[in-house]
Amino acid sequence: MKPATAILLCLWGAAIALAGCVRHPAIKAPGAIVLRSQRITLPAHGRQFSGGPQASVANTYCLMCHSGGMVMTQPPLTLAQWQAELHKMIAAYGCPLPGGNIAELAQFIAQSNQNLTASAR
Amino acid sequence: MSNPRRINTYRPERRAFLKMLALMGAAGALAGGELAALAADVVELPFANGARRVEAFPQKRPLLLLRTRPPLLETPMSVFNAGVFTANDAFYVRWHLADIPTEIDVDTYRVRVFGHVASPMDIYLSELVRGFAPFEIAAVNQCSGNSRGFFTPRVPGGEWGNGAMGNALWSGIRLKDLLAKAAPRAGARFVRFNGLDKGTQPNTPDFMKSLDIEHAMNGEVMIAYGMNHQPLPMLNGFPLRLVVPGWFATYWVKALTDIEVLEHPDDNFWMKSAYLVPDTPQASMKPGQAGVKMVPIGRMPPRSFITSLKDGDTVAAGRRVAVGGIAFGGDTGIARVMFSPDGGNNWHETDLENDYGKYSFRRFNTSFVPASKGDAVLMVQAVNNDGLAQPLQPNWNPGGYARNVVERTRIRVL
Ligand code: HEC
Repeated sequence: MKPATAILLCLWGAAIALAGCVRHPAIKAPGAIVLRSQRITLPAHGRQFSGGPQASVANTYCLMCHSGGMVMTQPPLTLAQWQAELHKMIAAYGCPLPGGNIAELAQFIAQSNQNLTASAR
Repeated sequence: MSNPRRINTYRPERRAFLKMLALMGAAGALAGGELAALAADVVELPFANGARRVEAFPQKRPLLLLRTRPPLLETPMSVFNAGVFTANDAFYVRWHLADIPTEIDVDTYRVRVFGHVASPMDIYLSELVRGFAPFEIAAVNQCSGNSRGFFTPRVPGGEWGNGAMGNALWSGIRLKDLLAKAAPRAGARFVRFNGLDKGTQPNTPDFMKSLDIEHAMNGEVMIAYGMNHQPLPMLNGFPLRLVVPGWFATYWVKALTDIEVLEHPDDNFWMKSAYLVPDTPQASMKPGQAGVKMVPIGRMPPRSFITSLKDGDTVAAGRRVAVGGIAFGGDTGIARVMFSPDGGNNWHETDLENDYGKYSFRRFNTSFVPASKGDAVLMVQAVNNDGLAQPLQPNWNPGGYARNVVERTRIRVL
């Protein structure tokens, strides 16, 4: 055995020994169900708005609480429906969009949503 | 998917792959195959703006992506043809508020039982799991807004196809046993549930749901630590979720930490202003209809789906075709599932497979011989043990809730 291989094998053995010492808390529940501590990493990306100055307003105020998919998968809605949605985001959920921005932003979202729907067909 | 460039803009890693292929000079030869593979990564649900990427999230196989954060993931209908229990890694995912738990330490996880009780408790996960009699039930978990994308006229919300549902065998403890230990005081009327999910902005109302105390204590409402004999996936509420058999999933609070006994009706946003349906048969009303009394959504009505055939499939004239699918009765069992091979002119009863309990999916099977060539519309209608049948006309309400119209599968006979 080459010395390098021997060292690698030693390190490997040490790593296994160490891993054995690390505590893996587990709760054994009835029905042979074992609950172990868990951690997941969620995908960070999401869809962004694009096209024109209102896109950056949308990216500022409409991606705080949900990714763009929430907005971009909506069906074709009327301008009035989009205005109602923005009012709801502000009143029900605490979206900090200034009231003065509603008309223009609703217009932009209605338009970009229509484009999306059209391009998907 | 007609325009593959749209997919590339969604998937930077794929674009990089294509670029690499181009650099290798292989793009010309491979583009066709790779583009076909890309196309397979998007599913078109049959309604406007129904393109959905197919993506794998932690502990999940690739599912239909409706929203990345917080995740909304839909189960492809093909999964329901694989059996009456929905695999955990295929089970749909639905959260409301973006700060969802991504890390759980089973040693420190606790549930609080408090409010109008004589003995408030702070109970560790291990005590909860081992300190009460085990209880199991098979039950369908269906989002209130399942199938919202099919509403006509369309309504805003999570634009699901039919896959925001699943059936599992839930293992855990009866809520009744835990509540009894905390000893609700005289005058206790409601029980409110809260989990680890929270909003990211200060004024977003925390997601909480409540049930009448009689319902909470009925011996079927439970706290589950197991789903199909496995721990729950993180995205389905690990380590504990409330299970409310027969009721829509909005009540099945995930990563459950707080159980609060109330003396008064719960007026939090998610009970008082969200998830309301018309207090009418089929939870139905006319678009724009005024003065309709709205009430919190509750029991599920029956539904059924053909899973062995899908829209656009072809069959041969004169040859017997097997038809199978799943049905559930809602808040009671399935009495029968009727099948029509010809758009509703003729109906016959199907055979029901194993009964896993009244809240479970139940498999049905039948067959028919298509006589003539051309388009054919197959229909299935479930009738539950209360005699409630799926309606032939769809319901409508502004929230897009509780759809349960008789489904139609359009096939071609060649
Ligand atoms: C303060 C948090 C917050 C902000 C900011 C916010 N939303 Fe929302 N939005 C929500 C919540 C919470 C929901 C419900 C999510 C769920 O049910 O999964 C929602 C849902 C939606 C829906 C689905 C329809 C509905 O009414 O449930 C649309 C469309 C929407 N938001 C658009 C927007 C747009 C456009 C903006 C930018 C002006 C925005 N949101 C900003 C919190 C917010």
